[in-house]
Parts: sequence; C-alpha cells; structure tokens
Amino acid sequence: MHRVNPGHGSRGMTLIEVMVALGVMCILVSGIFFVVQTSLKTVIMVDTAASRQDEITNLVDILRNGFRNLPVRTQIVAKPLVQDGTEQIVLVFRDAPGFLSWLSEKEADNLIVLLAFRRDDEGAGWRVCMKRFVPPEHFSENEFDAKKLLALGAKIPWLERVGDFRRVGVRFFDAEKDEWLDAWNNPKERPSLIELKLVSEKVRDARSESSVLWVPPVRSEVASR
Amino acid sequence: MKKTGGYMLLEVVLALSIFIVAVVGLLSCLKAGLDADYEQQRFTNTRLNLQSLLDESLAVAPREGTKEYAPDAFQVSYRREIKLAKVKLEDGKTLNDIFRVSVVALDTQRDKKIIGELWTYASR
Repeated sequence: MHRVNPGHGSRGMTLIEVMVALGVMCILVSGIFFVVQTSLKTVIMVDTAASRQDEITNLVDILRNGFRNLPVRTQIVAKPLVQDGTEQIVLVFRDAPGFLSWLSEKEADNLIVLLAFRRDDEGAGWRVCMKRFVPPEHFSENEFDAKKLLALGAKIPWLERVGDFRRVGVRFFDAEKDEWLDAWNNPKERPSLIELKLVSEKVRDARSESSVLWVPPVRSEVASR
Repeated sequence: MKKTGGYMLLEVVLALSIFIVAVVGLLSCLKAGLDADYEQQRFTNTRLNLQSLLDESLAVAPREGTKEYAPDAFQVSYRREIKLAKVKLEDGKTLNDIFRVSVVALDTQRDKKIIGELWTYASR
C-alpha cells in the first residue's frame, strides 16, 4: 500500500496563508460588489431621472397645447388657497370643452375644468390633478370663484396626472400692467402667460423646471358678456 | 534553492491588470450613465426654455429687435430675434404685418446651437 508522507515533498498551506488569501479575496470581491452595486444604482437612478424628465415634458407639452387651443369663450380664474388642510393652487376654466381631454360631442358648453397643483395630505409632495364637471343650473356668474367651485365639485374625484414634486409655483402675467401675479381674479380677461415652476422630488438632487406658457387672449365679445 | 510554489511576479501583475481593466470598464459605464443623465436634463431644460421664449413672444405685440439672455445653470445662453417678414403673395402684394420670431440656444460647452422659430401677426 502506498503511503503518503505529509512531511516530504507535498507541503500544504499554513493557516496564515489561507487567512491572508481569504482576506485578499474578500477585499477584491467586496470591491467588485461595490462597483457593480453602484453601477446598478446609477442605472436605476438615470432611468428614473429620464422617466421623470419625460413626465415633466409631457405634462408641460399637454398644458402648453391645452392653453394654446383654449376655446375663445373660455374664462379663467386662479388662486392659491388652503382647503380642508390641503395647500393648493387652483386654476378654474369655465366653458372649456375639450380642454386637457378629448372633445366629446356631448360635452356641455358650460363645463368647468379644475386644474390644481395640490400638496399631498401627508405633506409628501405636490401633485398635478384635474377634474371636470357641469355646474348645476342655478350656478350664477357670482359663483365663478375658485374656492366656491372647488366646494361645488368636492364629490368628484381628482384625476392625478403627475406627482412627487417638492415644490410647485404658478404665476400669471398681466400684459396690460406688465407684472406677474400669484392669482388671477379677472374672468373677463386672460393672463397672457402662465409660468410653471416644478421642482422634482424623486431624483438625486432637486431639479427645477421652469416653463412659460402662452394663453391666447379672450375675444372682445366674450370679455363684454 | 527550495521551490515554494508561489506566484510569479508576471502572474500577479497580469491578474491585477485584468482586475483593473474590469473595474475601469465598470466605472466608465457608471460615468457614461451619469453623463447621459446630465445631457438629457440639459437638453430638456434648453427645450423648455426655447419654448418659453417663443411663448413669451406671443404675449405682447411683436417689435423688431434682438434680445440676449444671460447663460442659465447649464451655461447655455439664449438669443431672441424678431424680424419683420415681408411675405410676397402670388399677386405681387406684400404682407407687412407678419413677424418672424427666432430663438437660438447657444451651448458654448458643447459647441451646439439649437434654433426654434415661429411666425406671428402684429395685430392678433
């Protein structure tokens, strides 16, 4: 029978050598793991940021086209307000068939569209929402007010378009006075420009996107009604 | 001399080189991803600014002239030029109330120029 002599010509590794080798391997593996993990995180972050950019540009494009193609008779009022603990900037469009949606043949002429930038109830962020409804027949001119209309359409659920904004700012340009306003209270006229400032929440750093959207002027026969 | 069965210097250098090449490759992927994200943000920002400048031109009656805007956070500067466009009709008449508004984004870092344009009536 062949016997192996461990002390002659087949020297094994000492415990220290094995420990050192394992230590070096651990360092290398953790280094590779760190690099791979960081790469994956970056890929996810870049993907999220790109989707976010798409969401914001789509939103701005939809709003830009919506404002640009507003029916001539559509009236606008807007104001920042707090209702039921929710901070919001509400833009009310009256007689706005087809605004921010497909135009339906059945759509009523006096349709009210509410476009709101609302801060989440839990303070998580701002969302861009909208709702549409036809006001009751007894609805009068005097009730064309953002707060009253918000209460009138309280039972209709908000349709959320984009969320997770850290901050949202909306201003309205009065071309006659040549000044930017935080609210628009004159339904007889329209703001010439609406400025949107959207600061995103999701991405690695706060990104602010500012856009100015043109609103065509209201026709004189509408202004005089 | 007793042979101890260790690695040769060449083997160690080779192994380390392969490791470094792999790590550098992964890091360059990382950098490329970050650069792409930055470029995307830069382009979106420029596009929104150009559209905003065009929309601003529609808010007031057009007046001939050039206006320069200071560079934004991405070091992209903007210029808006409004020119009276004398459009000749087939019957020889000239339309004198149409203006050509062109906005240019000058990206000096990338040596790029992005142009937006619209035509508008003086009496809208």
